[in-house]
Amino acid sequence: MNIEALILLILLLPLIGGLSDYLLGHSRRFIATVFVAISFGLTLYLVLILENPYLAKLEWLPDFQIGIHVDKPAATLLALVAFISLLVHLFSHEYMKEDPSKHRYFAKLGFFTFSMMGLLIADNLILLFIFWELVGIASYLLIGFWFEKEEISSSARMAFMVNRVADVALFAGILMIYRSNGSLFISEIDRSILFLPSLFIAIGAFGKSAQLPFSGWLVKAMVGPTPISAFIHAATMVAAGVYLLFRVGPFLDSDVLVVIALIGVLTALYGAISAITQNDIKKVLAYSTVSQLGYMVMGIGVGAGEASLFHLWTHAFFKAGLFLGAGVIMHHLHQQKQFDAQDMRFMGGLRKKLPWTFVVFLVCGFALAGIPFSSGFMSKEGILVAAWAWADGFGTWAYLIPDVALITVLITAFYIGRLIVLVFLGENRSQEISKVIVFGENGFIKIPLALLALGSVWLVYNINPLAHHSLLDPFIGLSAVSSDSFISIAATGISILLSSTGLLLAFFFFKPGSSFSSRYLSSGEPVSIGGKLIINGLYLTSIYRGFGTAIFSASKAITWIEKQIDGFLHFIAVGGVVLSKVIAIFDRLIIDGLVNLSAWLAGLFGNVTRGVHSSQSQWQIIWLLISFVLILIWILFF
Amino acid sequence: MNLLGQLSEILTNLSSVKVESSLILGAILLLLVGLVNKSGGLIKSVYGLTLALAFYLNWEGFSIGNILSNSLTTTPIAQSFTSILLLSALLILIYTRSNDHATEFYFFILSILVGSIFIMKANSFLVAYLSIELTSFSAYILTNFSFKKSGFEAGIKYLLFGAVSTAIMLFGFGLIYGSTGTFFFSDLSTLSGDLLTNIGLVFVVFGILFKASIIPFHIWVPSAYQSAPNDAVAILSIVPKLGAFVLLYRLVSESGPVREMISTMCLILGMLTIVFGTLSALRQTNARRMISFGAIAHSGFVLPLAIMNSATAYQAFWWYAVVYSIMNLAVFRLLEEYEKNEIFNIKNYGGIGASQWLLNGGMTIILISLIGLPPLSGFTAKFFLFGSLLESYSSTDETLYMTYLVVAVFATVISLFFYLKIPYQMFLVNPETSRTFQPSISSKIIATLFSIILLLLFFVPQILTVMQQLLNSHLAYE
Amino acid sequence: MEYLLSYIFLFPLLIAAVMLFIRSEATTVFRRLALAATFIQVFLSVLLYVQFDKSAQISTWSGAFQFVEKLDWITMKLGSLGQLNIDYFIGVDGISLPLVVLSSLILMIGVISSWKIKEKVKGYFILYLILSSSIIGCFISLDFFLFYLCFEFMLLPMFFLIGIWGGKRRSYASIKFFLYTLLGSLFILIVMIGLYLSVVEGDSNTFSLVQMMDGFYEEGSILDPASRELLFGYSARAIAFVFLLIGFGVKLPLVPVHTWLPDAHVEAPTPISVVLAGLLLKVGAYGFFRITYGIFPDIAVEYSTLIASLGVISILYGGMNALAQNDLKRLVAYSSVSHMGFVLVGLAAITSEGASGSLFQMVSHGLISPALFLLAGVIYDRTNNREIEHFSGLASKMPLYTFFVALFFFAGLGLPGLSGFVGELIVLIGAFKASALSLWIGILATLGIAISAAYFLWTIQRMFFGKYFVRESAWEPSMVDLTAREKFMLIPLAILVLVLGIYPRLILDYSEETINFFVQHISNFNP
Repeated sequence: MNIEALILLILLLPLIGGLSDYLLGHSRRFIATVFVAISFGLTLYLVLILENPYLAKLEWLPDFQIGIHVDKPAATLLALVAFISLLVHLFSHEYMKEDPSKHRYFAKLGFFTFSMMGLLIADNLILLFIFWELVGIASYLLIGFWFEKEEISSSARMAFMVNRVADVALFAGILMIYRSNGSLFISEIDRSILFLPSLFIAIGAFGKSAQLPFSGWLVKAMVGPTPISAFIHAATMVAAGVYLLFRVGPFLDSDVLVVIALIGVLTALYGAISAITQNDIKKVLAYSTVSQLGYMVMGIGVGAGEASLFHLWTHAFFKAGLFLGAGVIMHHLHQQKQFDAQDMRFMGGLRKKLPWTFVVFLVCGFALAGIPFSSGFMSKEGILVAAWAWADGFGTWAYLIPDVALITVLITAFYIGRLIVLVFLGENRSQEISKVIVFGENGFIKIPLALLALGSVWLVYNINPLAHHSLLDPFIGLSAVSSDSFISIAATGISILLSSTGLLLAFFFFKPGSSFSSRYLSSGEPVSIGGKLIINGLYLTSIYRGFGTAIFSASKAITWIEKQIDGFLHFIAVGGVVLSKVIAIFDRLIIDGLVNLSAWLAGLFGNVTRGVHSSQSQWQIIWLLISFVLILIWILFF
Repeated sequence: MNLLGQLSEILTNLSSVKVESSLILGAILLLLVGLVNKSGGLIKSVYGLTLALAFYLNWEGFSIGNILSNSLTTTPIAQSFTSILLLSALLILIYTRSNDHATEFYFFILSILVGSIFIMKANSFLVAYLSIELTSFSAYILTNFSFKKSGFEAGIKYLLFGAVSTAIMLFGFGLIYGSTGTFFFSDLSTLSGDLLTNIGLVFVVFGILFKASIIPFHIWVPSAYQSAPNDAVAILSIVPKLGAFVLLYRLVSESGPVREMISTMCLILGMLTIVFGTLSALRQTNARRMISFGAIAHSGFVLPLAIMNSATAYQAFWWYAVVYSIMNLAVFRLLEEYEKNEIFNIKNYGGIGASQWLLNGGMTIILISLIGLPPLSGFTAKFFLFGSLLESYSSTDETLYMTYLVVAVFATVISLFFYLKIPYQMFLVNPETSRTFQPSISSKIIATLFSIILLLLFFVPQILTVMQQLLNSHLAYE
Repeated sequence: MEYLLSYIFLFPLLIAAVMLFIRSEATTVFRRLALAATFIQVFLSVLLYVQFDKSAQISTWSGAFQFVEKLDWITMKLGSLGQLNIDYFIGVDGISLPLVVLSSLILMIGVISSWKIKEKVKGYFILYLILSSSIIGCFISLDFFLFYLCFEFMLLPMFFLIGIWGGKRRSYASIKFFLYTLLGSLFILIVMIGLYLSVVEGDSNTFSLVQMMDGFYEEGSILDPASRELLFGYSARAIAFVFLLIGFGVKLPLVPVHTWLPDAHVEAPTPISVVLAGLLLKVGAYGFFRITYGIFPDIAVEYSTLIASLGVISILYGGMNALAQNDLKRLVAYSSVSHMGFVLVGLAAITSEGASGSLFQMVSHGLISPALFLLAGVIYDRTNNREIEHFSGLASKMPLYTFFVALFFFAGLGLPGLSGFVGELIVLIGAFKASALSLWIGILATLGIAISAAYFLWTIQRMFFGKYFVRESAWEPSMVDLTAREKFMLIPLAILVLVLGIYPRLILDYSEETINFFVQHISNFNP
């Protein structure tokens, strides 16, 4: 099979599958799933046969080419996306079983997969932007899938709008590169990008990868179906920003790179802190994604693109596992009308009901926490070590970045530990749970979960559990992360220490029966300002909303201006009418006034032999003569 | 020169005034027939035949030059405009007219015609004065032909105004004659331009502008137009006006050094006319009165064409005159139909559009032509006007022309406002009370025919030029 | 076919003339006749499109046109001006060809959309067909006089179509429309006369646009670039340019002379809104291409920042206004103002990308905005109401309707894969590439795509998402999904929007040569 056809098939199969599901209607069908499975198989084949990067160009517009570029990293990421997509498809068959609009769901999912894959292979920045936007719209459609609910549709819109604002920056940045560099092919960029376009590109990536100050949308996006959350958080959408930065990172302006590292680490800290106090299981996971993305972005900023990409890969597995697991839990508790099926305060003891899920949460949670023998440990270490090494060469203040990153490790372990303890340990804290028909952990559920958990253990990537890179790296075309050995060891040590401390702390605070735990469980929403700030994620969404309101007010103000413009033009029109009225008044007052005066005078002197009208004529003639004399004067003397 | 010589000169020159002579003879015949037989048909046929004969004689042409001891001068422009006047007069037969006083009515129309044709040919001041008076007096009487009190008032007003104006004009002739001893327009080019002659000239121009209803000599127009019968209005708005413009044209083209002064004055007054005419029309509620003000504004549009004295302007002048005559004949004829159906005010037009679309559509087309929008010949006329103005501007660098252009353009936009009021009421407004509106077939046919003519002249404007060339081709140059 | 272009141009007029002689009670006959006429027109323009030689090399404007027909129309001796020559001179190049094809298509859809017109059907369709001819005429005229005739002649049918068949405030809207555009066109008239006096063909003055674009000026004439005539102290050519800017700007519409547009759109019946948005605005834009830029390249180069700024202002200002609207049609109308701003930005860039982007944006907007007005008409037909706040959750009741709304909204907000994106993209590429324009012009224009997303998505959310709700229970029975007729109008537009979004060269290939020459012609005047 030639490679063009292969790539085309990989790309189009999910789309076609989804569309045919849609067109064929409501019945339970597997076309989409099967097509994604084929697509996944083909990506594996592609990864195997791909020797050299594959480049193709097409003159899309006259004198304007777009092109694709498939190298090993792109191909493997294609496989990753296809794989996660396949799992999400499988999972969704069970999860969305009852939904009447399932066909619409699969169509959108196929479209989402297609867009993300397109983004990965786009070489030309414009083509990349095209798929970037498609990803955005697909996420909008999927987040807002249950559009009947006001809150869901407005969240979907907020997610899209926040992205769109960042996209404007990205678009402008891309076009500025075109202006200065002349070429938009990533593979052809040969010199550094200027400051402003670099910054704009970074802002675009921040938007899609939910970095500060754009992080709010990702949490809002939780309202969509849970498999979609898993998909968004794991392999699509948020990965796009990191991927873009990975691609163009080496050419970005060095000042902008520092900004990227800084924003990344701040986001990591922000996400982790916000995750601590959340009661909603999906929100914990969402903030954790924000935090993990912060790591990846920081990695790009410190020049460790490979490590970031590796973390993107491992994160895809463990986060998808966590989300799908959360989906199982929620579905399990779904019929409970009395309480929120996502509130961890009403959970507990679920290890008995959902043993598979429990195991998956353990494995994936450890990976998230960065416990040795997990994939997450390896990839996160890579970034941490690189950050440390980068700071070493930069100066004292730069240590802020690895330091904050390390603190975040502690917090990360703490919140994920808290989650697992609250959800799975102890006894169930809601009375009705026993009456609920148990949502089966059937094959559609188990297989995806198992595969994702499997992907989160070290052995898949490297035999050495303490290594900072994957053995597959050379295969997928990445160079291994190199680091100073002292830094490497120190970072590893500190990190292991911090993550295990975090887990232990979580266990001690939240273990069933502990005094802190019972106090927490009976407490309501936080009242202190700090607590509110944290649980609401710095009120980012409120800020967006305020921003939106401000824009809307501005638009109202502009319609006011619009009215004034109209008013002004009316004024001119009215002015004409007024002028004609003035002429009329002139006619009446001056001419007729003289006439009337004369009539009155005439009456006074008893000389009323003529009618009023003939005297009117008299006066009009006098008026004529006056104007006539005036003209004469003017003609003769000017 | 002895008497015999004079007599023979008169006889030889008589062929150059055959049009006027035939009209005068026709008028006398009309009176005689009227004495014997009062049937309208006969009178109308005598009137029509007289005009046809006159038109034929005019068509046949005559020799160009000064005749009858220089008292008259025949020019191509006079010939071509004479044919407009004759045709317009002929076309008022399409108006309905009862048999009452038909003889007198057509007699006065013929005398207006004679007067106006003499105005165009006048070379001697005396002839100019006499012919203007002839037109004026006939016009005063015509104004009263509705036999209403308002008509009488308007007629008196008109009479008084006319009297003053012609008095001024006569004074002007006197001044010129007194200071230079000349009695002929053709000698004006030799005038030196001293104060007295200038004043005299200005006075003369005032007299002419009175006939052309230019501000500030327009005051008589609206009430006269409003109260006179429609066919009389059509004649009044065309015949004396065009006669006056032709005289002005000749005056300006022959006035030599003082030309600039006259043209500046005329241009400024013309602009004022456009502005005042348009703005005043804006506030009218009576349809005929509104159109009368529109006619005043149109005088302002024609005025620069008469004084610019370029070949382009000459063509445009001819064009505008023809189209203006057609539009006025048509619009007053249709107004007559509406008025017969008790539709006087613009508001009365409400909602009658759909029922009689042939008539109302025709009216709309004519009004739009009056605004000057394509594809109607009213546009072509304005187009030629703008073109001449721009050309005059670029050849003389006189900003007044450019200003005139701008004023004219804006006035066109504003004229949209009032002319469109009628179609607006017809089609866009729902009638308050349903009214049965049964126009005569003839009105519908007339509306259609005139619309077609206005359209045709836009698409084939050559017709008019060719017509003028044909007319002039019969002239004998000495 | 030798006279293909004339057939396309005059065929509707012929049918209109035939209609005059049909009894006005036979309403269906008028509909069918009009449909047949426009259908044949579409067929002929597709033929035109197929036969057009897209690879023809262009070196002068006189060689740029195909399907040229030139007949003497008016030849008059006109005094010192010599001969007055007005020709029946038509032809198409790569700029006008897509617009002709677009026009015939939109006009046909307009007829289908007019099926619901019940009152005074005869008058309606006669006026409609006259309008059709004049629109097509504008795009193919190569004689300024003919162009002006068609340009001006669109006003009257439009005036009556809005004024008689429109909504509540129709008379206000129609007069406003008429007045604005008439004022604009009189500015054009003055420039036209000035150009006629200045441009020669052989030894007589001419109205030929081709001669004007190729720059055959009479030496020392008022608009001769070499002679630099002054008018009231300003350059005569600059004044003429500004006049044209106003004249075509009114039609385009350009902020701040756009205020007729929302009113006209809101009050016009649906099919007329469709034609108004789809085609009339394009006539203004086409005027910019052919006349403002084509004949005054020297001034255009000089004023490019001004033009681009006006475009950017239109984009942002129109978008912000759209955001604040509650009436669906008004919102779409303001979005038109915003989208047409891109056309100006693209033109001002004076790069081949910018110009072809402008053209593409014209076509794309010519497909999207008619569809949006049709969609607004769908809800109005059912309820006599268009207030966004009176509806909610329509998606669950009218899924197909929602699908089309979403599709065209996405097209409007510039979603890749749909034609709206391509237009904006190429314009922006052009604007960013243009060295004459400041970077900020491009950045601000890009901001427009965020604003358009804001108002479109907000509308979707308010009207289509959420719980199903309509304000009046009386509307309930009429809330049914799209009818076959409505689908029949929307599907071709949807397909074209999608096809052009994916394969824009369907248009760009045809315009490439012309646009390149156009840009090269203008950039010759770069200082």
